[in-house]
Amino acid sequence: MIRDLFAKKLLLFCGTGGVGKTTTAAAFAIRAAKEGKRVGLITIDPARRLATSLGLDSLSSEPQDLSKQIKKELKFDGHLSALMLDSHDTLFKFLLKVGGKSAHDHFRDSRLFEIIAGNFAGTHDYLAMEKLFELHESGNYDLIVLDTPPARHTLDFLDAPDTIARFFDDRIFSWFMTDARSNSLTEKLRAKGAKAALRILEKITGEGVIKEFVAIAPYIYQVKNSFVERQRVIQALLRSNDAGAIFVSSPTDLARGEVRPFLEDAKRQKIEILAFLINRSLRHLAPDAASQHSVGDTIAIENYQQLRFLVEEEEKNTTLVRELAGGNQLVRSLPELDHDVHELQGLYSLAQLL
Amino acid sequence: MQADPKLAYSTLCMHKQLRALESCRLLVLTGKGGSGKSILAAALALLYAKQGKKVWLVEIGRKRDKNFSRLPEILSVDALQHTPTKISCGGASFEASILDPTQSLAEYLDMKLPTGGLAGILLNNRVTASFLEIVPGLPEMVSLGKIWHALVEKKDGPDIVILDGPASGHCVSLLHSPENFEKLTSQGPLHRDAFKMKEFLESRKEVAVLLTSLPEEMSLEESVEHHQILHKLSLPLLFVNKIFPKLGKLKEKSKDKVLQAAYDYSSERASREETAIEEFANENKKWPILEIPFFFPDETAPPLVERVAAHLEQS
Repeated sequence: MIRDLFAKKLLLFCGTGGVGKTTTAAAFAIRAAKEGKRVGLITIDPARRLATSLGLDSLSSEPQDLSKQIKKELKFDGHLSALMLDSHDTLFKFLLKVGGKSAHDHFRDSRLFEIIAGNFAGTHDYLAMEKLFELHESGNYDLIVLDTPPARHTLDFLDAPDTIARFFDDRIFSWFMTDARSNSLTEKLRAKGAKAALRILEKITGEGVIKEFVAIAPYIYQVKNSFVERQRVIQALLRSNDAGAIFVSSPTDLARGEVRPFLEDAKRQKIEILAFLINRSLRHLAPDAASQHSVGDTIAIENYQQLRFLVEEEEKNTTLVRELAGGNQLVRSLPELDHDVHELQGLYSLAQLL
Repeated sequence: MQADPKLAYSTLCMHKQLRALESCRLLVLTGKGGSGKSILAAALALLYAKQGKKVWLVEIGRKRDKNFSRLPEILSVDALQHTPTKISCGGASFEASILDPTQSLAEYLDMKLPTGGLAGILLNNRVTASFLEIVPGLPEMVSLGKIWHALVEKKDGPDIVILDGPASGHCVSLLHSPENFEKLTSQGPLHRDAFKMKEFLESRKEVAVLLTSLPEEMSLEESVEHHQILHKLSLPLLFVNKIFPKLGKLKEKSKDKVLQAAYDYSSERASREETAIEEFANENKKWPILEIPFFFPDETAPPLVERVAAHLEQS
């Protein structure tokens, strides 16, 4: 039952791009708000589509309260806030909170850190988890809905705490902690080995970047435990009964064989898949065999035959999903709407179809 | 059924925009997920292979990403690896790979460092894997580096590389990675290579980024945003893919309600798409569009990649 999903604390909307994932996640969030839940809706999609879906010009990295718009346009009281992940902002907020002003300022003034934090897609993965923690910890939400980037990257961010922890446990990081003040022989030997390793790295990267990294390494060391711990809280929540994933696909995309790898990925990450939403279904348009509709205008007949082709493919794919899913999950089709959804009212009509 | 474009291969009728790309050495396909990047990349690979070029079709993905790649299915092969696989289809052949960043990095280090010795011990597989995981942008940088090396530095490299790029935001990270690494490092081989790669990408003559979009308002708008972010690179063409066919007007309302509904849906969808494309074209006059129709599933037709390639030749 779709209602069971409203009782969760954290839901991930996954799927390839172009299937209406963002729109569906937003529609679901509105529906949950209608059910009386306090809902937080986040997108980490770098394509920034959530704002458009909500009929807004822009979204910031701080939750934007949509209660007034909902009251005005949809005539009900609902608590829904939406935000878009801003890695840079989330990171510095975390640094200030956990590391204090001096750590924050060191990071802020580090040119190296600025480039890493501001420019690379990978940082989104780490900071999506931190943002989820921030929202979860605030206690302001009963349900957090996360609209994730396209499928192949979807569950990657769940690896973030392990990746980071592994890196710090690894000797690589210790290479950069060269100013350890210990006088013990092991430490000195370690420092010597580290220096040799860094010299080899320098051969490739040049001296500057290594020096810069060495300069901020102690500050990274200072905050890393909190960073990893907070990530682990979310990782555990995602793997609990209070959370799960909803796979959104279109009838044609199902054919691309993306369901199977996604199921494997979810299994590896220990995430429960709660539902499959097949968006833009055309089934209602071609209810029976093409031969039953062969009298009439040739154009209409050809239209019908074309749709019939698509519906046959859709039916084949839906059956496959049901088989793969094993019967525990909700499999639901949503009809194709005759317009792009980019306002609350449109989203709400879609939400009612869920 | 919509008549399939007949499979006559003649480069003469190839769209002039596509001909303009002939001088390019690297074509990067990017766009929203589901907009047909992979199929267009494969069709372009086939098209250039037919002209006698040595083509390398490439996707970037770690081991577990391979499951999600569409290329094997499109090219009718079981799987693709880091090492190129020879693909024969539609009367031509070319090579295809899914580049693994871990292997690309290992190859790069091999080139730049003396073999064996301390370097080998310190920068072993586990260590490099750890760096790839933690340093944002490094997988992108080394993968792009591998392609650049094959095109520019290697002697017997391909004439042209078609990169089936990642979707929107991730492709921006990919294409900006040389610039970021150039900034990050102030000297050394990595800095020099990053600089050369950046120059190559921005050369405008040799590299073109081709965007793909669905014929929908939102998808087209996203292409414009994308265009703005990638302004330093050459973006000569937008493929608008999966355009629903317009079959003409019904003379009178059909008595069969199901047929009427099918007509209403199809003609409404076709008109909506037409309007979206027209509006886009009006607002972005300087940006040529190449339209690709919706190809309905058809077991009697040649593989989709050949149908799309044939369409590209004839447009």
